[in-house]
Amino acid sequence: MPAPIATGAPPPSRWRPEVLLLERGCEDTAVARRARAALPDVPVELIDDARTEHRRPVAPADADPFGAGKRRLLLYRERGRFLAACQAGTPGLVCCNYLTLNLVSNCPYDCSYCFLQEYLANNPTLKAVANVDTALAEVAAVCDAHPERTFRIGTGEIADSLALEPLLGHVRDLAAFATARRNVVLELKTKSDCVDELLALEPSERVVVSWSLTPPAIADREEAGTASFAARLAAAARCQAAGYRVGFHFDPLVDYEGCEEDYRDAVAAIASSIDLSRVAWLSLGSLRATPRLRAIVRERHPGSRVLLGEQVPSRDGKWRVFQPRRVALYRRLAGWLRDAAPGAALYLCMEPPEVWERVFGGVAPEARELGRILQ
Amino acid sequence: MSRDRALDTAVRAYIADRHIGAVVAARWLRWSPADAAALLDIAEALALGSNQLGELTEWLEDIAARDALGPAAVLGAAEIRGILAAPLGRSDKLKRVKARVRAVRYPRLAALERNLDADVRALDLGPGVTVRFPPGLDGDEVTVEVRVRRAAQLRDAVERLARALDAGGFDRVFSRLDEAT
Repeated sequence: MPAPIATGAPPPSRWRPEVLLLERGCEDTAVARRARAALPDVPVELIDDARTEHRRPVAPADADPFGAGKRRLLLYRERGRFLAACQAGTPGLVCCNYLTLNLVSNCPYDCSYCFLQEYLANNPTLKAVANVDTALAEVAAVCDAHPERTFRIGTGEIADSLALEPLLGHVRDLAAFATARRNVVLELKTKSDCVDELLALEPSERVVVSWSLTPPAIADREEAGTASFAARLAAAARCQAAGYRVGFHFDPLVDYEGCEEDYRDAVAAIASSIDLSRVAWLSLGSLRATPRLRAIVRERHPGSRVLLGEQVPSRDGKWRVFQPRRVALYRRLAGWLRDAAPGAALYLCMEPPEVWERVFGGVAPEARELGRILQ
Repeated sequence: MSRDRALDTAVRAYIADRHIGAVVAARWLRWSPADAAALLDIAEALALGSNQLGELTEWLEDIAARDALGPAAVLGAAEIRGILAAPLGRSDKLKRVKARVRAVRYPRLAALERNLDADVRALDLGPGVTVRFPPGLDGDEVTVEVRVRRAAQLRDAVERLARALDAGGFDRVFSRLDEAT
């Protein structure tokens, strides 16, 4: 079998693109200045229009263009919309009314199971917006028009919220924006330990820093380039000590021989370093993949073991571990989390109502109700 | 011609003759001679096409990676050899071979399905009542279908269903469907 492509990525804090692409007109933005200062030895290319660049393939199809795209950082001015409804809001699944703010598209990490491999398959670059002010103006217009609603907004849907912070410095503006509004909760979701920029700011109740966690056995093997389980936990502890609310997502939940012990140990490790009575929320979400993504995982990560569980097609077309097994795993993990964090908000991601009901009892909440619980 | 070379030629000939897709072909061609030969035996015996081979080879590779049980060991099991030797038509053999390999690939799911089938048989609902589960057990909804041609048959089916309910037989079914440890 060929060797897996995704190995040996540098630690997150030292991630460097091979080239920095700057769209003309963005050279003097704060984001571009910061990135150039942080990457003095990385070649810079000026391009006229990011939209044109984005249509240009960087590698032949058989040479992992997705992986190649991750090594080219493009700073550009986004002309379209920034805010979107979370993709987890699929008909037939319980939704939590989450909004995603897309300031970065793609990720320096290369998790074997990542849906971006399909969603951004032909993207030739890792894109980050330089016009954060435009993005925040759009969000402000939405939030200020509905002061009676609280908006949970996250930047970690098609990117890692913090992995590029040493280069971009987006969080300063984001955190200031959320802090200034009573009806916004900003979630920064990450697999990194890049929290120094955040820790340099005044912490706010309106900013939740959350970590996607898998047991070390999965993190070490399947999440190339990310911070280790221990490093993520240490970063979370630092954030909590500084005054931030933190959250944890066991997503994807991966089924393998011995996984229950590993997840139980992971919960114990969290409980030993985090004050779980102050956690913002916890979520569980089984590994899910379209048939196309499964094919990509097999092709790009031939050593991966994430597809070796008993996954079958679900009603939404995605493959998940068959439902009675998922329910069993959710119940175990939810039980350990409930024991460790009795009062914490705990929810499932991308699951149908009957799974909610079987895991938690009662009737699955409506999106608005769930959104309120998680505020 | 060496044995391995003869095998390689035979596999390539099968791939060409049956228009096997590139991904499946590449997978098959990188297998060890023993594994490739075991698959060729089955493929020739059951005249497997590209889709059938695709599913089978994927399951076999997953089993090998997870359980350290190679394709030759899985396909050479007595149960599969027995199916191939049985006086059955090609499609029946294919169905049984696939079910057997699937049971190795999905041990918990297959065991649960077997136990649910046994639970349903134990309900003794008669020939007019069918109990069906969602495909892949993706859901908690069970379909109970009653097909009758006369009132007496309906009365019999309803009585059997009532007896099964009273005896807790359906509770056992739903309980088993609830979770798989």
